Amino acid sequence: MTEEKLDIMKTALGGEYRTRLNRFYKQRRKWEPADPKVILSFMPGSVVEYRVSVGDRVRRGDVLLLFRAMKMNNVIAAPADGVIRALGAQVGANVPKNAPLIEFE
Amino acid sequence: MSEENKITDLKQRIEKIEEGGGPKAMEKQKAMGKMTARERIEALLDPGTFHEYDMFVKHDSIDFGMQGKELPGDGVIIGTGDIGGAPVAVFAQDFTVAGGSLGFRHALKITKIMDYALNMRIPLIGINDSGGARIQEGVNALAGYGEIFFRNTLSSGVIPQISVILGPCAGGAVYSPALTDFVFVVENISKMFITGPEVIKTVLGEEISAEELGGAQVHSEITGNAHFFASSEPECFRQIRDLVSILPASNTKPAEKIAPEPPLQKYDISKIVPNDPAEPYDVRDVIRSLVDGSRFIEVMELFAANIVVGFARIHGETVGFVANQPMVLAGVLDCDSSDKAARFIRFCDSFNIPIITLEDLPGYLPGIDQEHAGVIRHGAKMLYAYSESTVPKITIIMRKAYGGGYIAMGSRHLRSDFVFSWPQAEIAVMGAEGAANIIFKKEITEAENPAEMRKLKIAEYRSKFANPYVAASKGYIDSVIEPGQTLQMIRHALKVAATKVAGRPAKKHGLPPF
Repeated sequence: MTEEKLDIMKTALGGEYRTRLNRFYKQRRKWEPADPKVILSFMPGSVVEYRVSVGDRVRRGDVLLLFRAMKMNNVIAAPADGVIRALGAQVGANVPKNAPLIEFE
Repeated sequence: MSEENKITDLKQRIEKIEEGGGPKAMEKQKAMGKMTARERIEALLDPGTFHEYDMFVKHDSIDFGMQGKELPGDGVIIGTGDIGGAPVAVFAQDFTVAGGSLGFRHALKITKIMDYALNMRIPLIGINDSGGARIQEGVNALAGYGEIFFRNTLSSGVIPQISVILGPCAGGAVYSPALTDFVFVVENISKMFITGPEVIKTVLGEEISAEELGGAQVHSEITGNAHFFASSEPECFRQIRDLVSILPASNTKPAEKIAPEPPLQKYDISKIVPNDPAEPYDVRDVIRSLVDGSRFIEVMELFAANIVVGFARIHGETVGFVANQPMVLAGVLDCDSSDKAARFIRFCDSFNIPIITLEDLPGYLPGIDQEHAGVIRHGAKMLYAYSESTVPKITIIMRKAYGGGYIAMGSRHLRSDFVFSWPQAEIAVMGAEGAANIIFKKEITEAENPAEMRKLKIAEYRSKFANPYVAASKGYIDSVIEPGQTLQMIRHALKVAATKVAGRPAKKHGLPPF
């Protein structure tokens, strides 16, 4: 029998189990709820135009900005009522994925 | 006992069983904002049409203090009734009786009504509200789940199967809904997961609420386990009735044809899609402009909203729509939208529902996360589903049809019966910018003014390829039509394809890239 040094895994049945952990398990990140106060870019692109300014009070569904990505001016709307605290990107400048576009109070 | 007394006795027995877990438990159920199992059946079916079976079934477990324990109906109600005058089979777990826990007899009642549904070729609707396996019954409870899963699988593609999650549905219990065709959830009431928050906390030390882990919103938006989201139980039952009414009762019978109705005038197809290919719009308005009464039953509205799928009627007959949604993620294809479309296409094909594809997409979503999530095998499901389906297939290319997206969205090459294109369509292997940079790389870099040359070459590529006429010259497109002619073309195509005969080579079954 080959001797292999195994990892330890806690199981739902209680107790610990000697087993081999794979890369996905080891690299798992702790879950965090998404921050409802920030709107992030869903992919790399650029802001075509902001339709709101800092301090504006917006309602759910109001158009906040147009975001150019995938050959499309994507309409980004407010997910909930709120007040704009900051505009995260410069109009026309390329931003990476998950860059803050809007911050709410 | 006299005959009269026997009838009184029967009535008393029924009354006792209909009380379920008793008034206290019923009140508790209502305090949680939930309807009782019997109220749910009442709300689901046409008034007065429910007929119950196996009411007097009792459990026969004796271990762990179960002997002699009264569990009315063993915690589940089964029967048949009507939706819109057509019969359906129903089971509803009763949370007031031992937490709706699944014991062996409870499972046998469910499998009995499942067998009825399959044999009679009528839809099955299961209302789930259960704490899980009845642990006192040990492996017998597990056997019960297994028998249910087996029947779900056998019935798949024969009768429509609907699961309604109206309470907890955890552990093994989740896999029956997962094997059915449509899962309905209700805000704040539905909870589905394999391992609950307590186990996650024990094993991983992570804290999360049941709602955040497996609530209605999560399954509708993130996991794709649910197909219909409602904010209340009555709304949920209305949704189910609408869906059942538009579907065939089985794969051997077409959906009921109803009186045709024109689409509402306010949806003018020639005004919905902007000419500028960078301008988004709501593709559901295009669907509404084509269908009877502009009524569209959208499936999985919140999940992978970059593709829209659902049912509607054209000239009184049921059709399925698959449409890119430019309003969300520019309408790209990705892992989730491919899964969503593929499953919907296979449902339509199983139940002989014609598929209409509305195409306008820039291509597949680029990204490391997409590649690592397996967009190759997920995307392949869609190719498989379109290629495999033999129902009438009609494709309208409205605006953009680029690259792999052109092939995937019901192209001629995957055996669409009719492919029509609007004149503003751009059909090419990739966008003009990208293509020009590759094809004319040398010309551009060696030019005196590369920027100017690039612009020139992009324009050249666009005028040559960004139109439907190259594809039409090869016969890949049957007709280039004005948007205003779309409905007329679809209606004619449906008429012609109604008698379609298409075969597949004999096989045990294919191997879709699951």
